Amino acid sequence: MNLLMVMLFAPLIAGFLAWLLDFKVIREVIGIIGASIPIGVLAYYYSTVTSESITYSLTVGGFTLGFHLTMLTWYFAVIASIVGIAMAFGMASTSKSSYDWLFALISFTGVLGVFLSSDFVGFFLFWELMTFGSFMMVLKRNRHESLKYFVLSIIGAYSMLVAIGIIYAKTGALDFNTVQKALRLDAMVGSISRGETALIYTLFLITFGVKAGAVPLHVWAPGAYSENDQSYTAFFSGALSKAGVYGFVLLYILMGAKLYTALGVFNNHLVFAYILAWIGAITVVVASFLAVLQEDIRKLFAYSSVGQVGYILLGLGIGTGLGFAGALFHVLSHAIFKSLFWLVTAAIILRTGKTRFEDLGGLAEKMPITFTMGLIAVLSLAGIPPMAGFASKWLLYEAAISAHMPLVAGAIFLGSGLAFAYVVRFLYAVWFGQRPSDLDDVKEAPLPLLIGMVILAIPNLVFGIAPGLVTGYFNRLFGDTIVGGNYFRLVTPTGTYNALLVTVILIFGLSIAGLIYIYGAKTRKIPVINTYQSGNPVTEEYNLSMRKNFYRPLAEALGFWLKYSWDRFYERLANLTEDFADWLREGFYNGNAQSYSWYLTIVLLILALWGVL
Amino acid sequence: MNVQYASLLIAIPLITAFFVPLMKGLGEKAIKTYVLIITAIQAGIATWVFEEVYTTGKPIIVMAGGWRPPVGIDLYIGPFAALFVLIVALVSFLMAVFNFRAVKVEPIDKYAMLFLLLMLGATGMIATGDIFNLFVFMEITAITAYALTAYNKTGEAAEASLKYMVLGGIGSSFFLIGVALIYGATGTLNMAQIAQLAGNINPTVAQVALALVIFGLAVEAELFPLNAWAPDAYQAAPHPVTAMFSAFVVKAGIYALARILYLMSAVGTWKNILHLLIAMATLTVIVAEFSALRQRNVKRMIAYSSVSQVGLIGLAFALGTQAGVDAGVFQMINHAIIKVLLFLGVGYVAVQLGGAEIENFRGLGKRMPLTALGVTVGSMSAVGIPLFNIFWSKLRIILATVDAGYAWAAALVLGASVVEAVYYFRLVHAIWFTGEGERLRESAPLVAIMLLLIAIIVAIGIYPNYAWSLSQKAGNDIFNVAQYIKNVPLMGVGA
Repeated sequence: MNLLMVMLFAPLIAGFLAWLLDFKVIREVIGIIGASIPIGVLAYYYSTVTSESITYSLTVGGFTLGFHLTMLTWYFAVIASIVGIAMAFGMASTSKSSYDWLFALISFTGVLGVFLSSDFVGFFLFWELMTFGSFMMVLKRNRHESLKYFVLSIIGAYSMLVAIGIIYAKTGALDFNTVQKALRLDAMVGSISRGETALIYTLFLITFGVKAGAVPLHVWAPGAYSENDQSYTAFFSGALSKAGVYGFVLLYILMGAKLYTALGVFNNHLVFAYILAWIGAITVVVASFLAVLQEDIRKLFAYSSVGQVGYILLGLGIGTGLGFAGALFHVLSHAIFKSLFWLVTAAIILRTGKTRFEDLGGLAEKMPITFTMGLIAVLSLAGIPPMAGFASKWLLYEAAISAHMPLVAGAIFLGSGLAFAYVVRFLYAVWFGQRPSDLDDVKEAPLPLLIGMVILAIPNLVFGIAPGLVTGYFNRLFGDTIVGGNYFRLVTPTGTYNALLVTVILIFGLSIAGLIYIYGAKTRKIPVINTYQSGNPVTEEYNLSMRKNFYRPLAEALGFWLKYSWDRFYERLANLTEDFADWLREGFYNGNAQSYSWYLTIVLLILALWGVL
Repeated sequence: MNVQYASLLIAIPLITAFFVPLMKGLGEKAIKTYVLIITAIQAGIATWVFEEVYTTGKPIIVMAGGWRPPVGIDLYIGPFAALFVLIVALVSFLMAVFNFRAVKVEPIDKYAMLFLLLMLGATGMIATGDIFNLFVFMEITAITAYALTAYNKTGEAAEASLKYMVLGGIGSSFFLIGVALIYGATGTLNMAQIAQLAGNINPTVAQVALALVIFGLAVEAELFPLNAWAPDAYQAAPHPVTAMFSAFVVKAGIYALARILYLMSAVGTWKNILHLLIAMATLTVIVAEFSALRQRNVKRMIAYSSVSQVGLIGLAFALGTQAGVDAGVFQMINHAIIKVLLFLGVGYVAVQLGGAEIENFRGLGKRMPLTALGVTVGSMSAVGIPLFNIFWSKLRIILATVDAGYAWAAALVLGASVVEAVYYFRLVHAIWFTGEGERLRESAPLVAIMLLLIAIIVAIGIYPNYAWSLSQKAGNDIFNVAQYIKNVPLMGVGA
């Protein structure tokens, strides 16, 4: 048995066994073992993959399913596997259901398969598998949200299927290598028309856009992320949404040349990439605004997740080597910090049973380790050095500026500001401030969940202090020095960032502050009031606090825009479809034998009109 | 063993069906056991024929009365027929088991006779090599199907049966006119010889004849808009019969349609017929899927789903390419399996809980977990989830459709499949995540059947190679008309 296949199917088989042998502890142990195998195999392959790619193929039902482990796919697979283990540890604490294990691990295999497939049939198969697994996780908890997710996903998947069909009809191939060669050739020959190329591009845009949660296809994300086991959401938002990102990367690899010649250039930017960059920018801004306005932790992180994936799309859309490096780095950092957030959320919900900011507060003393983990995630997301989130965002800024995309860069800045606004709220409202009396006997998160968090926190720190580890890998991946420097120092054409120096200075500064705090500060007793009030009394009818309606003024300012909602638009569309379905059924299958006979006559008439009878 | 024994496939059900009235006095159990034994024997013979055809790779040509075609009527049991005769026999056998639970209405002896004749009719339609003989078997199938639809003796059943009869009657009369035109133009009723001579027929006559034959068969094959009878009939018929309708009666119709279509592929205006069929098949899928969306009765919902899936098969056959036909055959196999599972599960629930309304399915996961599992696996497979069998055939059909240049048809069909996913997953949600209830005892034989079908579904889903190679051989049997002509030992007449 090939090791690559072992790694691919280990989670699936483990999930199935866990479902079958539904005993406490055994179930969890099997699940964790199954989820750990992929990272082990990937680690084993590290040295091989940097020199040559590993391939394997299976013949299934007349199709040849190819798998390849290249530097690019290794990178994505590693990210998914790290998040996958963390999910498994988290689920050992939060989920007591064999159903959850089965479908969570099915989607794990699905994600790995998407990354490893080297042909469209396997890609589509695992894409569907991953969607199906994650859908079943939501279906159990909320039918409406799950169907919203599934319908959008399946529309995406079927768009992809049509696009694959068109590519197959044009090139006669389904494996990536041949398709890539054929399309590159076609970029010069031009036998696939501009319209068809645009059609294929749009279809893929829908597919990957849905998975990545790009506006306006993001509406499934808040519901699906929050109506779920939060440990699984760590994987869902951290790894599964990256499949959409990977799809866009794949689109570049397979069709880049063709898209360039067919769709041309606008203002020195590739048109197809420019579209992607703007989709990313809009996603960042819209989702970040919506995240700020949420009152529920899960919804907040759901929108935040959508917004952060927007950064990645934006980076890919910039289309330069630096843009790619930034985007790929952000794939890693988003996966590790957002999954960490979700595990922290899982711990909060597990221990308090509450999800809204107004019901929480002052948990830092009760759950100190979880709080530390949450703090690391906050720093990383807000882009504060020396965390991984800073390094990747910094690369994205550099890329946008050096590619002369000021408006897009503006979106990044705005998004960062908003991200700061919402994480501050999370930090304060959950961990500090007054603790509601019913949370007095909250305990620290259970051990497996903590292990899961630590697994995610370590890379946040390591890749934050030594971002050169990641960019060095990219340099080898691209076969070119995109980002210079060493392990600790990043050098781009426009700037330099020395993570180690920043870390040292930061630690130095914090030590001084700590010394001052310990030796210099006098303890003062002050009443607990919200900082927001600045000492002024606040009237009841306009009661804002960090924990409730904190950003209401912002919501009022945005009132005009918030009137329009994609969500409501889709709901209306769904209702129209259902009404149409009724109309069609009642009109056609009306139960009247006479009208049925008329149908026969009409068909005969058509046959006659068509020139024969 | 002499391959001519394959004629037992027709002879045994026919003879035994006429012996049923003699057993009337022995009681309900005895008659049902009798049917079970007959179907088991039929399945045995079909297995032997299947083995024979697939090991030698040569079709079995049964010559009735020793007359060589085209003078005598022949049965042509090629790879397709061998495969589907086996499926017909196996499904009948499984449904004969289900009869013990599901059919309580008297007169059982009439039911048993009609049951065997329905199996006979479908077997004959698939196996025959003579176009008029095809008409005869089609009438046997249709008339037994009308009677079985009305068997439950309710008002709805009578109404459904009447509708079916009116539409089926009109369809088969036009089919007969088409056959007459073909006979007039070629002077033969043997399918191989018709294929041989098809190129020489006056194009207008050929087109009219083909159009009429297609029109007639489209009623049986449930193509839009000639399928209006189907949902009523499926809902009203006894549960085992519904499963048989969906698993092989409609398949026999669509097979006949495809067979004649490809036999006549030498006709000059053949492509036009294909366009018409593609439009009809695409509309079949769309209308049926949308109709199922808000259906409260699960049996009727699955009936609509069956109609739409058959439309998908029709689409595959209408593409006029080898890839399309192979994919269509593959979908026929898979669809037969899942619809037997679904109608068995739903029928069993209806028997146990007194109706197939969606309300009875709430909490089914707690009340009848294994039946619920069966319905769930069937639903997921129908939606086209990977690891289940339909995924592969649907993928094949879509790729073949786009490859043949009908990307619009593929897009429309897929759009309708989104609707399918919605109603099936609403059902799954109702089964597992709503409602409460005490666990009921489930019948062991039925559970065993369901588990067997689930195992087959997953096996094909994970390892489709064997089923796919069967489909390819069977598809080639339909598509490769030249080989078909060569296989039938015509006496050298005509050509």
